[in-house]
Amino acid sequence: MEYGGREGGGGGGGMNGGRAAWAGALSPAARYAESGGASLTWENLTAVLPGSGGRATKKLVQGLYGYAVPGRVVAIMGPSGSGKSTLLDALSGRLAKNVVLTGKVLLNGKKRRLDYGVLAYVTQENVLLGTLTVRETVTYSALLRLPSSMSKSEVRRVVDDTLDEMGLRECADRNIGNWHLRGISGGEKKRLSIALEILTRPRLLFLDEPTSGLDSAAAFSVIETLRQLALDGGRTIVSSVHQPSSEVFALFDDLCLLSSGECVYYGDAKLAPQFFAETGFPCPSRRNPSDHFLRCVNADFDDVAAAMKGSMKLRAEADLDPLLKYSTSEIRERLVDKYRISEYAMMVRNTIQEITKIEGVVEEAVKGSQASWCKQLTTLTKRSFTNMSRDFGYYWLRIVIYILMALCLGTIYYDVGTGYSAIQARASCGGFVSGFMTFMSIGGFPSFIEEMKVFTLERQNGHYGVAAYIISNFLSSMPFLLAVSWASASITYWMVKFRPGFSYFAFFALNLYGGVSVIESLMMIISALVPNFLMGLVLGAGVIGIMMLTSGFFRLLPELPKIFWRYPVSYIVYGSWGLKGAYKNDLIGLEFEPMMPGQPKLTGEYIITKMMGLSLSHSKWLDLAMIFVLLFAYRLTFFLVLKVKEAAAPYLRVAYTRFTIKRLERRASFRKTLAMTSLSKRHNQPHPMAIQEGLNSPLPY
Amino acid sequence: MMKKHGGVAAAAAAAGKVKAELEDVGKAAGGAGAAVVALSPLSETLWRDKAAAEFLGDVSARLAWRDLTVTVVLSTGDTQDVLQGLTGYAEPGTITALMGPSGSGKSTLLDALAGRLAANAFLDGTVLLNGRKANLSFGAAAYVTQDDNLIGTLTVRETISYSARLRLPDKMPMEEKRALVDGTIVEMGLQDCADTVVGNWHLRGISGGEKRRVSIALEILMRPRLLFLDEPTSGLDSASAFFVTQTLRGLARDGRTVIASIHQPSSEVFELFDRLYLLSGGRTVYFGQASEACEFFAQAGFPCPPMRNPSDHFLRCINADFDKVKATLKGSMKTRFERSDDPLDRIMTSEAIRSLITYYQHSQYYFTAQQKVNEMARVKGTVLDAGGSQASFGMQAFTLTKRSFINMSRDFGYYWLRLIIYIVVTVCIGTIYLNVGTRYSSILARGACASFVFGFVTFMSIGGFPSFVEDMKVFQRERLNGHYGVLAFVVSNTLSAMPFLILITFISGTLCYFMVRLHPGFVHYLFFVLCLYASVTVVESLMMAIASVIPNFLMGIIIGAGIQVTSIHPNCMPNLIHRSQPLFAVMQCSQTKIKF
Repeated sequence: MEYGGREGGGGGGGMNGGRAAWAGALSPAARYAESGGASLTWENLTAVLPGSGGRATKKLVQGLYGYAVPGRVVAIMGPSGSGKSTLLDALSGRLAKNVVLTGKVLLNGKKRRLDYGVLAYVTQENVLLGTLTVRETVTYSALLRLPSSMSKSEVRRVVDDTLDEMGLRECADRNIGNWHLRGISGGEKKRLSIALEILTRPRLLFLDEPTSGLDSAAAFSVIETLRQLALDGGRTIVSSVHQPSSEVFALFDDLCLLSSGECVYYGDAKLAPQFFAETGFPCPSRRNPSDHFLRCVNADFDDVAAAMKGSMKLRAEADLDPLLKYSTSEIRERLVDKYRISEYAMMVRNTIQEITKIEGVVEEAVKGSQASWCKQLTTLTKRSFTNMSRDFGYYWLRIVIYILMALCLGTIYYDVGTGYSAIQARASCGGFVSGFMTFMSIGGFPSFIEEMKVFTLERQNGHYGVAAYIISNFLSSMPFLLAVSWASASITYWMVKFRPGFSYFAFFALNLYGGVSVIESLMMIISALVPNFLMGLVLGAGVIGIMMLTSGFFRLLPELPKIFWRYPVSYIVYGSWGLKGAYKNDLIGLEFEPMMPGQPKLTGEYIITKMMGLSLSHSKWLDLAMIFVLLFAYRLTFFLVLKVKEAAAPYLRVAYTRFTIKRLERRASFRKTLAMTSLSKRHNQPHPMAIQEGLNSPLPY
Repeated sequence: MMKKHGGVAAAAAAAGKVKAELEDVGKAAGGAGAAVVALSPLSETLWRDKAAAEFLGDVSARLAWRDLTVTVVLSTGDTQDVLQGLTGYAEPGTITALMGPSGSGKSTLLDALAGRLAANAFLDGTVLLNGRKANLSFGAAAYVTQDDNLIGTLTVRETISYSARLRLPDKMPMEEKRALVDGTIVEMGLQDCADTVVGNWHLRGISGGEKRRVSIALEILMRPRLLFLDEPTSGLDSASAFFVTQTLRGLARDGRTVIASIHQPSSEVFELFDRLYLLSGGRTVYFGQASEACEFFAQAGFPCPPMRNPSDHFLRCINADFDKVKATLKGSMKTRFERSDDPLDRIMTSEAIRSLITYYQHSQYYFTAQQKVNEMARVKGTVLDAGGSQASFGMQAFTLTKRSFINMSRDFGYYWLRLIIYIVVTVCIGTIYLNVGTRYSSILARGACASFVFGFVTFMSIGGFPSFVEDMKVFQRERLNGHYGVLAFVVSNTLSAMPFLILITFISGTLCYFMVRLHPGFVHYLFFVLCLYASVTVVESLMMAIASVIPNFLMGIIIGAGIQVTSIHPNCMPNLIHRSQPLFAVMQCSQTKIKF
């Protein structure tokens, strides 16, 4: 594949040159298709969700015909639950595994799997790291996916071209914005999401409701940009869209109007009002055609009418809207029947046939990323590090709290000394440091979940591997964790006056670092296992609590019940190793005052063996090493969890779909319109907790 | 509701005057086809007891505002005029739509009219309600905010009836209250989903449009004559938006005054508005009948092209962002603007805005509005006393407690999840310290066990923080609307949490106590559990205090955890700072425990 300087020509023109002679005979759409690039056609497309356990089989979409050709933007429109997303998923090969798809989807006249590289899919949600600037986001993504052989200047050129193409030049150096940083606008975010997908110059671009949540100017800018992409880059663009405004609607070339999974209209968007007029539902002059179309086919309006009849105020308002005379389902029936036998439908079929006859170039699919593993790792580490250093909540806030806590600890145990009572004080100070200080790791949980979202999306698109992600996360967090542990260790160490000597201090700090990173890894495992923030928080706190309990501070190791707690648990918990190391580090070689004056002084060794019940058979460094072994083991578990999750994901999705449908059936307001319920996750999300969507404040702003 | 202020004589005089005006208005409104003074049968139920005693005057609300200017002091110290010299009015029986691109000041205008401006905004000009200076804070007018802060675990009917009990007078019989609630449900078209839960993060509930209608239902429960809505249709699909607006129109036709800010209405929705107030950059572009706006734009040189939603066209004309979009597109691409027949493609949007504003200021629409406002300012109408709660403190506290209790028992994340974790953790503690005994080493073990139980169990209170934050949001909304006082909220929250905290502490305390075999004897056991209960309550209150002070969830959790960790610390500490901490109470408990 060739990068840069690809715009304008549309590529592959030479191969089709010979056919230009009979181009005159072709329909306009087929003429576009002939210019090269990717032409997509679909015939008699039906997606069925097989019923099981006594439930009826559901048709999600049925008997759809259509085409998408280079240089044109196809809009898939319809009321919610009409099958827009199903069609988009079916065309892009992203349907849930249990949905049976029949019919033909052809790319350039050939049946083939649509892989990444040929196809890009822009999801509805913008999943971006808020702390990066626009240019950084694009650059990192480019480095992750473009071949490593490309030089820096080449990459920069690709990035600049993409930014220009998406009209992002002006905001290139602004932050994207997160819960505490003000960033770019919603329209710019959406264009950035598109920019990330067109980096590898795919010929086919799918977008899921790119304008939802944008105001009219921003929506206009997004769709106008898409149009330019289609025209200049010879790309084929298919986008689902929900309630476009008049200006936005005017920008679409082809329109696919769906209702309850059936095609109400497919063809040139400019001709759609004509079709509606011919069928007997002309668009009033002061109306947005797309509003009118949706009004005609949205069966929810029937419910509205019914509910209003029930409520007291229908009064003399019935004549307000001529459409209220018919029920929407009647209108819909008429439209669907009329379309099936209309010349518009004929035209579509002819065009499909013509397009399939043209021998297009089938481009080699590029799977996922072309960058080498090392390149991915360094890029990811750099990106993750930048993110962490700019996100106040990720580590900085915690560093502040840690320092405050260390100061508290330092004043409480100030100059602990070597009296008899100091033995217990030293032990509990060690226990506190390794126990409660690591507890605070849960504070970074929200930021970590944000990062996981980005990972999940990029992983789905095959940008990099799980291993690269885990290692990069470890590497980029290391400086911060070292800083955290070094800062709090030095404060505590010098205030409490533990034994002097740099190696003792270094051990203390490293011990703390090990503990904090182990807990960090544990929280990662939990965040991968648990779907939601609250559960993660509570579960994490619970697990950390149990870990502290078995660390040998709250109950001495030899006294722990042998079964379960002593044997597997206390060994796989970092705390026991950390405490052992801390005690050895602090006590060996020191002498303490005895309980009664006059008795011989107590040596550190005596205290460890007799009072703490620990053996001195191995050195403190081995204990430290064990913590790092645990760290490795936890990271490995994290890796395995992610891998297993990926393998199990299809099965989970099937289960989720079933569950969703079952739930929807139970819902009163859905019972009557079950046939049109949408299957895709995005429309059925339960109300998320405020915290998950942007860490809102409980107070009004 | 209405109430007579001032002396009896004045009231009598006013009553006579009002009566005369009432007839006037009735005549005037007759032409408009709307029954201004005729209330819906439901609305009348509420007035029945009062109507017998007092003269029921013209209860409609006529709102007028003149030369309204709002200045905001920015954090840099500069001032900025958000609204400049706006004049307009809203009559009973109509819906007025405030429209404009984002940042044009429509929310500010709404806030200014409803008396809810932020502390750093200053209002200049007059807002008159029935010809008198309006004071509309805390519940005098119903205000529906953009986000639906509802309690997710309650059903629609429960939500509305609790709200009714919180605000309706105590002496109103139950059946009447119920009838009123049922009436409101029917009026808002919520019959189908009346017994469905609203829905939260783990419960699937009603749709977005239904939620919006529940929010409106809560506000119209007290039959306010004046209703403000901030973007009631945003985030809804066209059918739901249509339904919501249609309902608002129904409410208006009952003689209410409805003012709503609207962002990009669809064609059907736009047709439902009576009057349109179009703003751009804080200045009036158009104020008049919504149906005449097209004509105005055509006269000003920007006719609405066919096949266009008029509201889309207006916004296209006055949204300065389009200039930026065009500039970006021109700068970056080989743009081809084919639709050069559109006059807007030839001139800058900012110029269009300027010429529209100038044109409006010399148009007949402007003079009509001025005249009407002057007229409305002259006529002194009744003083409306709407909104605020009429229930007694006892009733409020009782209802709130009940509601909060139901919410807690249905929300899995509030206490149940924690209960499970507590049981698991205490079973772990129990097995680790199983049968601790009275050996020498047990001394330390007993101490550690107690400190762990108290430290950890209280620490887990942060798990309830998210649910509490959700609660706080509902409280904020209801408090702003004057549904109840702060004291009632605090009391009810404490009371409703009590059974759960007792359950949690008794179960985990008992498990722990008998597995570890601490000091035998019922009194000792009781003391242990009560101690645990007391410390959990203290920590819970601490987290609430944090939630009300710290503006952000993440910060709240981290700071809460930080404070707790320092206060949990079980050992002897210097008397200087740490002993004098107010949080010392928690520690005190654990120490008491160790002592016995």
